[in-house]
Amino acid sequence: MYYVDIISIFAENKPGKLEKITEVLAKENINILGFSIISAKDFGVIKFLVDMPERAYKKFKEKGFTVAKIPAIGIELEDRPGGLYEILKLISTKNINVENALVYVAETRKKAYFVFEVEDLEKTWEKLKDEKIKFLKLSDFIKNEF
Amino acid sequence: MRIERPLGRAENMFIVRGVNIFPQQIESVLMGIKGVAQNYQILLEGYDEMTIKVEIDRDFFDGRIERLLKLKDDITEKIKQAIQVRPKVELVESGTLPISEGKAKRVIDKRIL
Repeated sequence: MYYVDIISIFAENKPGKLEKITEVLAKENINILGFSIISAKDFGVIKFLVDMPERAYKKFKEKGFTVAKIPAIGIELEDRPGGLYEILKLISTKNINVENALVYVAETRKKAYFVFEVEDLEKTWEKLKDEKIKFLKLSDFIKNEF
Repeated sequence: MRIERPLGRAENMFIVRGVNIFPQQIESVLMGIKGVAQNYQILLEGYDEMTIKVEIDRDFFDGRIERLLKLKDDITEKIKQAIQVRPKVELVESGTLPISEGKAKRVIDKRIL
């Protein structure tokens, strides 16, 4: 199964919070490949796809952040009108519900991935694995972590 | 008539919208909910508004916001049932509120009454 880990951080909605979170990544020389922010008034969840997920997770833990790793599936998007639509159409015909998503632009105007979380990763994988789509692999972006 | 057990020290009692409330009532509700960490704080503001800040357990967080929203609703409902006043509940990070040991100031009253 091909999947990637999304680093997910709980954050209170107050000034400077995002700065502190991204500072951890900057200091560790961890590159952000994609991110998303979900806000629910007084708090939110910030999600990152990074090139050193294990290291990022460990550092956030060490520094006392409320952090979790969530496995997600990444599918390559074609850079043309309807590219995202076609992937989403495929996902919905398989009755897969996207819980959260972010986009990873691997090469500007060339290659991008739709990276999404689902409730049941294995079931989703079974439904998609034989489709003619390219999956994002850890080895596509990961850096030597330690 | 039912005789209830004492709810807590009278000196800790506070009144919100005409209801007598003991911090211990809120505490015992919070301690019974999975996902809640040790510390909490009760803020009384404006014209009788009650906000309860609750620390969430780091291990409870699984990365999904839905779970946090459900926890927040659970806390709100259970406290409402216990004290008859609906609080505003705010989830905060573990380790950001004053520690509960000793006489930590649980209730901060900034009402303009």
